[in-house]
Amino acid sequence: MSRTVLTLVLNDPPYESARSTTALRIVDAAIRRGVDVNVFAYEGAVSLSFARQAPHANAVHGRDVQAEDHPTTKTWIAALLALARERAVKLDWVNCGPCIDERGVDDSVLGVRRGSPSDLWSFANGSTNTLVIPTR
Amino acid sequence: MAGYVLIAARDPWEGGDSQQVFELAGSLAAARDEVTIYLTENGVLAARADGGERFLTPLLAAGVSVFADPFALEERGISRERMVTGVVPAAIERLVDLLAQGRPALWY
Repeated sequence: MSRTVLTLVLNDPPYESARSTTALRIVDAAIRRGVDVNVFAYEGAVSLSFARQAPHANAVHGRDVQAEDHPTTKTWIAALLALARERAVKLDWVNCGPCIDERGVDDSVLGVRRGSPSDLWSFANGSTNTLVIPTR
Repeated sequence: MAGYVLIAARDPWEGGDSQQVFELAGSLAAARDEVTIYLTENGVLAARADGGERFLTPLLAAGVSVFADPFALEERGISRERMVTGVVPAAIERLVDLLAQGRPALWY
């Protein structure tokens, strides 16, 4: 019996829209359902997995880095990749190569790979469903 | 009967284009297609009683299923007692299940 596979296409950069958080919640729920997931990160979404993201302190509220405990999307993506491994579910996260080069974000968390729009074509052809989450 | 899934993520009071998802749902239902709307993010504002009925009640009457993301409802302080009658809170796993059935899905 063939496995169920979902492909998500993300476009938004991190820390700007609820869409990024919702997308990661969908990925998390799919993995926990035993559904294989492909993610094609396009345009600003290639920064979601940028490895040099850093949490910061909050001077206004007098909290240091540790107390602020600021979440980063790269940490969430690394956690999703770990969850997929733990559950023997496939999570294939591909960042659009030209979009990476444009933005200089060529250092992603382990498990995220560089690709091209042809990967999206392959993803869509091999998936049960494809959901495009557009910018606005 | 394609079984469309329309994901409404925008505040319907933002303007006309954010209401198009409801117009599309109504058109599909009129064409006897099975339609599910999943409200998330600011889209759950349409689920508020004493306001959201204008968008959702005609669709519910036409047989459209309307689910609302409890995470988004809670973020916006919308209690289940203050929701449009007929809207069903459903965790995001419900959306995943609909997508996993291969239903055509559109994000608004």
